Amino acid sequence: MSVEAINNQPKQSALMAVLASFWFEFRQNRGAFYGLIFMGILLMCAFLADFISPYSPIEQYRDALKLPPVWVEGGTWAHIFGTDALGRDMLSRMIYGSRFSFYIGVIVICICLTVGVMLGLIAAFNKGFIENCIMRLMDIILAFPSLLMALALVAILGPSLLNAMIAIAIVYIPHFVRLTRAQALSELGKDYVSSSKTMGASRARLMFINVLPNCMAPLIVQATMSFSSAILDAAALGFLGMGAQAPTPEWGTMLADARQYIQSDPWMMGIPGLAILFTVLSINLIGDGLRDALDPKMKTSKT
Amino acid sequence: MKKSIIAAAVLAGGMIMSGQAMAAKTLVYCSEGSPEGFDAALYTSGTTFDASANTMFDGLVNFKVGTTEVVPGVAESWDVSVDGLELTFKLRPGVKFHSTKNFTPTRDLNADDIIFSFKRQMDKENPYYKENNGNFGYWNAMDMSNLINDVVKVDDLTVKFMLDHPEAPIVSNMAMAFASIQSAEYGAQLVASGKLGDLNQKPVGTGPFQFVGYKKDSVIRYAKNTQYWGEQAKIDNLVFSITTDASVRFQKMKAGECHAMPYPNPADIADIRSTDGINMMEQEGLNVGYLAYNTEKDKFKDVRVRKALNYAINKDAIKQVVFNGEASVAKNPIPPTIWSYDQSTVDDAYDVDKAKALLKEAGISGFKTNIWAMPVQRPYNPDAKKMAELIQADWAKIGVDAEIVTFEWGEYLKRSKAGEHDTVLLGWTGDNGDPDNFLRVLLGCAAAKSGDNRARWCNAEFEQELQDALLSTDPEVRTTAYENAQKIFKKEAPWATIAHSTVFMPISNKVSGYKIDPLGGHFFHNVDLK
Amino acid sequence: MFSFLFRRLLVLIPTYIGITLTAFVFIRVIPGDPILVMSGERSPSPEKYAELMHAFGFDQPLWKQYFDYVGNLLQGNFGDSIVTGRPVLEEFFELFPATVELAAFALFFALIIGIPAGIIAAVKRGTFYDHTLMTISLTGFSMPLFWWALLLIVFFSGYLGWTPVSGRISALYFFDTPTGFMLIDSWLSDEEGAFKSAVMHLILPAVALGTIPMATFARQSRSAMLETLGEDFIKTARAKGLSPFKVTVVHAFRNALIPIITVIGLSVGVLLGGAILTETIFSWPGIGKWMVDSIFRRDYPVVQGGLILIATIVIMVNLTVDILYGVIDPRISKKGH
Repeated sequence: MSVEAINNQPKQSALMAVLASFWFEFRQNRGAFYGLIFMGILLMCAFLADFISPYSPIEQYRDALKLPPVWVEGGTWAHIFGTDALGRDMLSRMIYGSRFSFYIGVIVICICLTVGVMLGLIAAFNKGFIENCIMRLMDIILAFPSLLMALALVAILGPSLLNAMIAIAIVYIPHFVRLTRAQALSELGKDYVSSSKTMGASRARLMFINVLPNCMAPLIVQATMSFSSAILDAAALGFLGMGAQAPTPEWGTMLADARQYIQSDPWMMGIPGLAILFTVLSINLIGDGLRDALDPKMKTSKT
Repeated sequence: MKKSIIAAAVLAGGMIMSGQAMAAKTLVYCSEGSPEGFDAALYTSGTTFDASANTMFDGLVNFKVGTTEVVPGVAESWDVSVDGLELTFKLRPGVKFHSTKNFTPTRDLNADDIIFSFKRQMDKENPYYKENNGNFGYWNAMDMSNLINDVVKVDDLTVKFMLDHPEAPIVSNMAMAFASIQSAEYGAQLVASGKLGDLNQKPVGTGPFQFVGYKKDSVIRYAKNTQYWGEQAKIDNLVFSITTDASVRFQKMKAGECHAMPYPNPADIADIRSTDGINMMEQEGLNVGYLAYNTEKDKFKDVRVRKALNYAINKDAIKQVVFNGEASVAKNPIPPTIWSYDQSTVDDAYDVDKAKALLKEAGISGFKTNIWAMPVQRPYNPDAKKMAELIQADWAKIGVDAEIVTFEWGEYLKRSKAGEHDTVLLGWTGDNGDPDNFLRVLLGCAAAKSGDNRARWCNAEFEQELQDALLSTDPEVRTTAYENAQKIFKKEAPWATIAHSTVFMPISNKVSGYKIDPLGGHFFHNVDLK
Repeated sequence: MFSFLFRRLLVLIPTYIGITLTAFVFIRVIPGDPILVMSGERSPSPEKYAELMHAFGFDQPLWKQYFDYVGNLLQGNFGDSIVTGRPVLEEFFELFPATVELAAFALFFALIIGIPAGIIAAVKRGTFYDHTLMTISLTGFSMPLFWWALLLIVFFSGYLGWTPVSGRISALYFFDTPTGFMLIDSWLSDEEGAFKSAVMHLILPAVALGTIPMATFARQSRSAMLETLGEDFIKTARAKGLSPFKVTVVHAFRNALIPIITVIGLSVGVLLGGAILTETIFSWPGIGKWMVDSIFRRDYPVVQGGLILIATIVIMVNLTVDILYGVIDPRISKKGH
């Protein structure tokens, strides 16, 4: 029998079973389910922003400055969430802003997963000097508080949303590296890997076909959690003036813009703040659901 | 070093606290930031001046609080020679320096103190020049080394400044923060003990308040100088409670945690006005916010293009949105509170059609450009990005596609000084109330070369008017020359003049006697507390 | 134990070299320089500017500046702030107690609320209590910190007027601060009401900063408890007829402590990071605000020195946590005997 046959045949059917049991577990968790629904709505907003938002997010209606939302006295149905200081429609900005939240999360996670997993695997497979170099580098990054590090990095790269995302990703990478390395090391000690090795499987094959898939579960949970932290950190950078730049309707930047109106027009800070809170909460709920469904330890403790 | 700061604070603090039993008057001012230090000559920021020069020091001359009028300080009188090259000050006898834990003066102020205060900024061999690497902010910015050749002692109470060339505003300059008078005796004592940094950390001046202590980023404490040469302060203690966030400052005012605060949020102003117990003081500021066209770039060489862009900007919208309506639209490069302001100027009023027509006349139909927006809040422009967004939208209507550009503050200044911008938002707050301090510094030919003239605009006619005014001491001649200069400026339009912001000072109704300083400082010398 | 410690310390050497290099390179490659930022609109002439750059030594090649800097560091000299002219170390030690005080009380708040909440949720698993507590803690975990802090100020200080708005103590007090910890110093000073003022000033920022760690502790202690509650020795203890309280607190909690301590150790970094935002909003004179101000002012020596000192603290805390493992985990300590 070839090596592929050993590995793949049982895997295919097993995969279906795993997915089915995963979905069963996940649905059990009501919080995760609601989170998923909220994220679904948000995802729709992000994709269909051009069709569903009533106005352009950057058009300034100069005769309608700082209108309150419709449910507050003085609000109108024309601008359901009101308008900001430049007369831009808040609802449209919120809808377009949802794009940036996904954008931030997805880009940060992509960078973290590719770079973090690669470095983690390299460290696990190259004991000695290379491993030491990688792990010390990660130690250095971890020695600085993440927000401070991100702030310094953005200051270097120049304040913009993309640079903020890169900075946040760099700060998160060590967690992915450490996790991947630890998982990979424990997998490397297992029998099936040594048997593959004796059968002459190449190193790349060992890395990506044998070891990596078995590291995926904790990585997915970590990625979900990082997704939500990335949104929070991007908002914090925006708040310190180091995130997305105007007129980008990014929620964190909108919050920073609205800060000076906290006394006079508190809803201007309330709306994007709540949006960030609910988005992050939803992702965390989904993350919890994923963890419960994926982590066998949690499963056993449940019974 | 740290210990002795604290020790000084304890001693003086203890005194104050025991004095509090006799209902000492303590005024708390919620200041907007930490001072960089207490030696005003080293810095250029108003926050630092408020904490140092404006409370603890005197100049040879001072500005009369609430005006730009020059009045005697530690000098009783002064005299400019006929050729304008010698400036003589007669010092006031019996002026005492503060006695602190750190220093006890053995003599009254004399000519040596004046010479010390200036020589340390110009003499490369002076130990204080070396200590600070020659980084004397205003001295360098105003290029004083090329104006003042020497300061000499005539007798104990007479000093003479030898000037390189006549310069009309020189006496006003002597009232500025950088020209605060330090004690030569204290300076020498610190040199002897090797603690030169203390001149900046543990200040000794002659002003109405003296230093008690500073807890970094938190609070500065001053006590009344009971030996002040002039009228003594009416309050016993002055406290600066450092509160960087403007809305938090307002919250503190409302909670009664402070008596006065500078720089309220424009958005909070209506709210503050309607708050019981708080009076809102306001005055037109001595500043201008502008958008400079880089006249070295081809597209801005044609005056019609500059004029067209001026007509396209809706300044009223900017006033409403950026300043919350609390500013006046600017038509001249100097604010109306300055003498020689040209009332007759007609502004480039918002007119899209006229703008389009002018562009057509210039043979241009729309182009790409950029607007540089500062990354920081300044008194003349509370939100440059918002302003840039408004202008961007306005220009789009006449087919001009502008991209908003911003850099870190230092980088912004450096690059715009080097002329990398197309158009740049910036502004200026007056230093001494002289039109020269706006017109020549910001629009003169020398400034075009150095880059401080962000329009890089050098107009021979305009320059001639400035020179005429600079060399004359006759107010009438100067006024006419500056009025002419403003007319040339308006015709040539190197800038779009945007606004003169209003200065606000929310102050508790328990406080009386406070006056807003047109130059942007905060003075508590004449203030009383109920 | 000692060889373990020695190995850990040895690993620190390359890490440290990396940290100094990172701290140094960071601030130097950021565009702008302290002289320009300080002078603002009133910048010196190009000739004068060149002279100043030379006087401060910023015109030297970067590698030379780095080696000079490390040389000074080895002699314990962190340099002087360019803006204030004061030694970096002196400024650090003046401000550090404020941050420690804030972080300690945030941690305290997080622990006394978070851990009991987690235990209750675990013991009452699946009930209304469990769901409510976990929803609250997850909400806290998802909170944008700066937004939360501003909400707290607006509500508790502005609307209700219960707490002071910002700062460490009422500006009317001015006394000796020998320890730098305002609670202790205000207690030692004989000023009437000073201690109360200091406590009241500490509440809001500590709650704001402690919210995220609190949520983490609640979640972590719940899952750690769940795990240990399912283990054999607990079942044995129960079978022996020990009271539920004793089983929970004495046996289960003790064993759940290890993962919780790990989280506490990790949260020190979170607290220091969060301190940046909290201190900025509450005008709290600590090192977080100091660092942000210095980054914006391009105060090279302060940013370099501050980063190195903060990294040192984080490393020390992690090391302590590692050592604590050995002390608490009965399995490790048994091996030791």
